[in-house]
Amino acid sequence: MIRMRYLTILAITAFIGGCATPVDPAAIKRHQIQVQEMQTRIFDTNDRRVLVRSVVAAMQDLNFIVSNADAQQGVVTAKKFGPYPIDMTVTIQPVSNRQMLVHGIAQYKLKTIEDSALYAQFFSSLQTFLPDHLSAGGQARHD
Amino acid sequence: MARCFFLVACIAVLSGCASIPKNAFLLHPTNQEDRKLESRIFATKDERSLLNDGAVILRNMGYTTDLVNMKVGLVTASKHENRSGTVSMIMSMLSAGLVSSDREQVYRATFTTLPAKSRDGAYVTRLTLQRMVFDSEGHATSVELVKDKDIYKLFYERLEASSFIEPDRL
Repeated sequence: MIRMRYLTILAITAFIGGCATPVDPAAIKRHQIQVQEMQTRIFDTNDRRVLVRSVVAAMQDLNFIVSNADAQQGVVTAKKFGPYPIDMTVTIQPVSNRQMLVHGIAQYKLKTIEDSALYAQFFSSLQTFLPDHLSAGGQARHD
Repeated sequence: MARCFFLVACIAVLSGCASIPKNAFLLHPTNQEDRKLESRIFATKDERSLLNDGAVILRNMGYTTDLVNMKVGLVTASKHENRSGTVSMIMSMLSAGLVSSDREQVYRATFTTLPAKSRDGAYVTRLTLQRMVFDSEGHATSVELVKDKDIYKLFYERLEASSFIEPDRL
């Protein structure tokens, strides 16, 4: 009986400890900034529609199915089916009167993906479809 | 009982940090060839007509239009087929419902238009097709890109006929 209790505690601890995160607030803040930086790029344009169109083309290239694309609001949502279904939401918002910020959030099982390689691949694909004068997208700074 | 708990502990550890593989966003090795197969360049400024014609052709091919967005040059459509045949039913009965059988096959089409980089006053169109099989639980058991050249050829032949423009390849 004691052994069973021990094993129950072990199972619960393992489950909770499976995704243990640092409790240091500064570390959490740093981590959040890193994640936001990998998810965003700034482009020197005020043409939101061009960016929305290029995002749609990039999503198609990555085999996503676009479920919504709003050029006025600057939002594109898409889903990738398969063994690892991914939901992706991309927002395109102005940061000044001549710059736009593209922010992509990919989720797997309702959890935000925090892998820089995945976002780098998305922005690489996006650049393929941007007009030539917009090819150099700068990374957003979150200070 | 102890074994059962050990199993639960293992599953808990494994599922606690479930993550997707690093290549989930990587382009397929045949992406360049696929893009050529799926795309054409139309020398026209009438993007709206291209999109409308594309949507009509897909409807004639048995697809139901899901989304049309003229402002961003996007049409999505799908075709559903029921797969619950005799074999599937027997499998389900023999397993007393424990094994979920393939139930529905869905073809999803995405048709986009984008101003051509290489040429002014022209649009690059792209049609991508995916075939998905869903089980009775609604989970996708199989997803694949449709690479049948004849389907794309047929689509673009019809688009050429309806737009009166002979497209160029990428």
